[in-house]
Amino acid sequence: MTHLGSPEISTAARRARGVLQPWDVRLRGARGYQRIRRAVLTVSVLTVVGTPFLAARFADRSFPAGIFVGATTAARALGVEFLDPLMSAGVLLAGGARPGLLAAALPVLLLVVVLGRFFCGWLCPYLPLLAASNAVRWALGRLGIPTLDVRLPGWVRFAVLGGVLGGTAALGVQLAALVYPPALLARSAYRLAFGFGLGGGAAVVAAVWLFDTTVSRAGFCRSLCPGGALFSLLGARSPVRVRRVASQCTDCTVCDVVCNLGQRPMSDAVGTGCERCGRCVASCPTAALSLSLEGRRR
Amino acid sequence: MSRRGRLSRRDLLRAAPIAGAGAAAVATGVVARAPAPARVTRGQCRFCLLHCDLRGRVSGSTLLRVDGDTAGETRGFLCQHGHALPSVVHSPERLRRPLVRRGDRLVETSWDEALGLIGERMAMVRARFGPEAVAFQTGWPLVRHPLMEWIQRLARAWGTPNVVSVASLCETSGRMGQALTVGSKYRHDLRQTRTLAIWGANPTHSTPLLAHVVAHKATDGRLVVVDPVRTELAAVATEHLAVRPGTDGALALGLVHLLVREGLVDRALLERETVGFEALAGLAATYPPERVAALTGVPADQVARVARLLGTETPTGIWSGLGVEHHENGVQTVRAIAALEALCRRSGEPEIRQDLTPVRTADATGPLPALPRFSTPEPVPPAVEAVPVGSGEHPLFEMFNREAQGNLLARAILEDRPYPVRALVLVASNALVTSPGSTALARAAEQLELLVSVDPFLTASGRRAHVVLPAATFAESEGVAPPQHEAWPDWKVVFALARVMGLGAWFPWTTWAEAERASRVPVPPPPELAPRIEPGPGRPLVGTPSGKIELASGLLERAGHPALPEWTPPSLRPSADFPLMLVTGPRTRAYINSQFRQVARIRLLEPEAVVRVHPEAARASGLTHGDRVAIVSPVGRVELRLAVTTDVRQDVVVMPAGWEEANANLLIDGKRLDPISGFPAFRSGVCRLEPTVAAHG
Amino acid sequence: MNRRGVLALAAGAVSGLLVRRPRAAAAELRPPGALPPGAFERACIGCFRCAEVCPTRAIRFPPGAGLDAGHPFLALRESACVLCMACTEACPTGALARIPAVPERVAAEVRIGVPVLDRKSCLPWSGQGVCRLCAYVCPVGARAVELVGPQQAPLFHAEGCVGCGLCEEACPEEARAVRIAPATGGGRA
Repeated sequence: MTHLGSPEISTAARRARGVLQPWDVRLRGARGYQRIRRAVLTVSVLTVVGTPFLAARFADRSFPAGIFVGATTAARALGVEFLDPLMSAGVLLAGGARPGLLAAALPVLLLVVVLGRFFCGWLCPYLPLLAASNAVRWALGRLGIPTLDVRLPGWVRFAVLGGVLGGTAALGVQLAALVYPPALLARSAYRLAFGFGLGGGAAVVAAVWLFDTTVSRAGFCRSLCPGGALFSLLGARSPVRVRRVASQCTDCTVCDVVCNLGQRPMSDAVGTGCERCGRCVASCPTAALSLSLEGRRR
Repeated sequence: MSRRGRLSRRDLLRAAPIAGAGAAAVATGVVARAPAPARVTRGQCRFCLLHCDLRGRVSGSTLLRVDGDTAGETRGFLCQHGHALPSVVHSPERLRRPLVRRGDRLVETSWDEALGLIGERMAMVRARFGPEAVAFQTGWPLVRHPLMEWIQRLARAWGTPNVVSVASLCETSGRMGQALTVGSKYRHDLRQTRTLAIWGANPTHSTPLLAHVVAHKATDGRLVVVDPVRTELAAVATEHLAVRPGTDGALALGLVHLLVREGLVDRALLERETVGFEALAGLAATYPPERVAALTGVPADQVARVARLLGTETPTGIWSGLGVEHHENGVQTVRAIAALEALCRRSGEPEIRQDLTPVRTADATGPLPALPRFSTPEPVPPAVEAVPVGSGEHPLFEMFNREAQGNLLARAILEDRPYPVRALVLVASNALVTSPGSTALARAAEQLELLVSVDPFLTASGRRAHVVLPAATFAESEGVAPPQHEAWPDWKVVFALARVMGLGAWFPWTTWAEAERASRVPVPPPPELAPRIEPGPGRPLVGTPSGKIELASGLLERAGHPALPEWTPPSLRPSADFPLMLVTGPRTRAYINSQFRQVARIRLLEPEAVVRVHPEAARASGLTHGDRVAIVSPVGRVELRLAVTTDVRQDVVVMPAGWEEANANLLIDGKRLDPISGFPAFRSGVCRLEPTVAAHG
Repeated sequence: MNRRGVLALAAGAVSGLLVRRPRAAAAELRPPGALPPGAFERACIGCFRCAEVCPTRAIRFPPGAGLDAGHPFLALRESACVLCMACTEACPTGALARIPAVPERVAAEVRIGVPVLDRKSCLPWSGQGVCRLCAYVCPVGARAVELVGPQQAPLFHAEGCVGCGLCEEACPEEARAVRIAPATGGGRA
């Protein structure tokens, strides 16, 4: 039952006759978690955008690559490689694996196995663009311009993942580097910083953004992103999950509404697609949700 | 959705990402805009004295690249150094701001503070030690640069005679030797020269623009190279005389001997144009080919062949370089070579010597044309009382340069002889690496009350300095590249120094162009330092005192030196402890003195200092190619890498100069100097080779 | 993931595998240490780390969104490679094999491209004058370019050339006679 009368819903929404929208939900709880997450995300975005500009200023000197080099899809910090599994998988399947690929892929692989699809909620440089997309949806809504919210079925992203990996294997070229937004954003920032102008990758990101804004809210992340699909697969056994205390839950549906990735915490249906962003936890008016380590679900 | 209603605070929060995205889009647009169109700049490369024309492409404050200017005289030629100009201008190792010493460290500061400190210290040094205790030393970038006259003016106004330039160890022995013989330094009209001898020089590296013209002589079978090392040029020459270092004078006299003996001289011409031929012939008689072969290591038959070539296929030109000057007998060796060349002259042949100072139009009542001229705008600062450092030991050096002999500067600093020197301003000079006697200089630097380094980079000398001032490169001074950081052009630094030294009244100009436009008056030297051409029957032919080519030099004799170009062996001879001869400082493709080591594309050409050793010598010392070795001389020890090659004589090892980490000047005795010019014996040291601890790594 | 997901993954993979390889594009000059064409594209993930560390900005990426958009190439005409080997050290997948910046190793293992000389434009070869500049700037010297004859004309030896492009950069503009072209074997000896 929908509790539109809950004091946590804004007046405007209460007056509305339409569906509750995520921007109408206040994230009151789990403040500490959200702060940490936003801080980590800020660092991640600044790294993607900032280090190319720093590198561009180094002129005729070698970049201090011993400390940090790269961006989100392939970074190396103090000698430890953080290679995106989508890239590792692509190289492996294309037949381009060299000795050392496993060592490079392992750190992130382990993190994903333990933390699940956390990259999408904590590190992905597309997130600020997603926030802008949602904001534009709100603005369009305020102006009375309708936007679609087509929900594609859950298997589509796996089809995309299969297609990208299959195409990579067939063509012998990394297709992920051409369609995966974190890779495209990082490379676009580098191109800008070094004065080469935006490349075709920026156009792909713009198309993704338009899709998210006009066709399907957070649709790319939710239904199309091959990276997210792979993270879901690899992180299927992650012990970090959203738990609901049924006795405290009032079935207000705010948690379902606020989730970008279409998970349904209210129905205990949080699957491998959960990005551990904690918005559902933060939005619950009765603190019935929490993110915690837990063993195998019953 | 309600269309009405005011915006609440929540709404603003919701709209924030749009604003953020909008700002990012605007920033992207700003950053991604088309870069400013590149503009073309023109200028001349000043890394060496060839001054090749170049064209630069500048965008914003960046010099993107340079190319040789095909429209100029040098027709697009630009060697590896010129192409490295953008790397030098934009090197991250460039000094951005002045530095002053605080305790152990050099700290960035403002120009005002740095200059103020210099002014204070200068006043203090003057009060305690007198104005002559201040010395200025300049390096290669200021050779024949108009700024030198302004530095001379500054020194004179302050009251010190101590201006030191590269003349203390470069070119002067050659210039003096030639001037004392034929009245001035000269170069050759290479196209008119039929037989060319390159003696102790390596034009492939030192004058790349002309190298092919030189090499072309070999195709006609008339190129002679005299060099202990088989250089690229020697490898293609008609005759390569692998002479023992320091014995060039004996070889020259041996060739004179043969020319005279075989009658390959034009006696009538010599009668007309020279003095002292009979005396020279008498001296040369003591250098028969057998003796020459024993002294120099050049086979007697080769000496005979070369003598015949030089004497018959005339006009003959002999291009001599630093290889013969960097010995204790340098000046006399140059004289012997110039005499040999004079003996190859034949009546009726074109004059192939192109003089750098006028000879034919010599003013018979003025000082010798080869003597340095100094002119400066009025009012002219009064003459300085003190004599320059080194004038007592090498008066002829002072006569031909009007400078102090820098090789004696360390002694003045350490031993107060002839008087204390306590302040040194280095302008484009890395003296602590490039001047002889590095050990003594390092100690001397500790004694200075003020050491200033004016340079675009922090050199080894700068690291010991009290004040380091960032200089602009020549590219910025001339507008080829935009100004960088807070660097000032050299002239601006010099004029500012004048002001803080209380001499602003002597330097009222605010721009370089203005200063250069000011009209000047000549400042003659004191009469005892200005011999003249002696009056005599007929016009003087050349700018010597007698007006003729002086195979026997009266000027030298009056100064207490042999009148004839006698040969004296180097004072250091191989011994049991030091069995090998050591040659330091031949030109390399990559570097000019201590410059360019921070430029990646130049470093590629020569990544580290390497000593070249003959296989026999390596074997005798228990070493192989690629080992790290120690070169030990009577005065020092240096570690570097060894390369085995048959290009060097068996009894000689050759190492480059200018490497701070493998400093050749630690191995050469800075006290053994040419008595006439005060030049160091860079190329006639002795040493032995030893393995280092990590001999096979 | 449920059965639908598995089926979707499989279906996607199959359709991906059926994609036809497009016609091979013209070969590009790859950074030093690059695997041969084919192998390079399989391993390169377009992370641009090589370009980030390149001190002379010789490494560029193509504009556009084609299959080659994530593959670095060397724009030697704009900026020569100074053989610092930082790119080979930065590559995470080994598409650029590590080569230490030791002169002997560099000279032996780096093969970015081969020198191609147009004798009609070359000043000494065409009798227009003497130049020698390519030999002056070459880091490996006579192994790659030898000056022959009275006109000191350059004779390039492809097997000794590392392909850094310093000669191409130094060649006077009126000549533009030498350029580095892709070798058939890729960027690694």
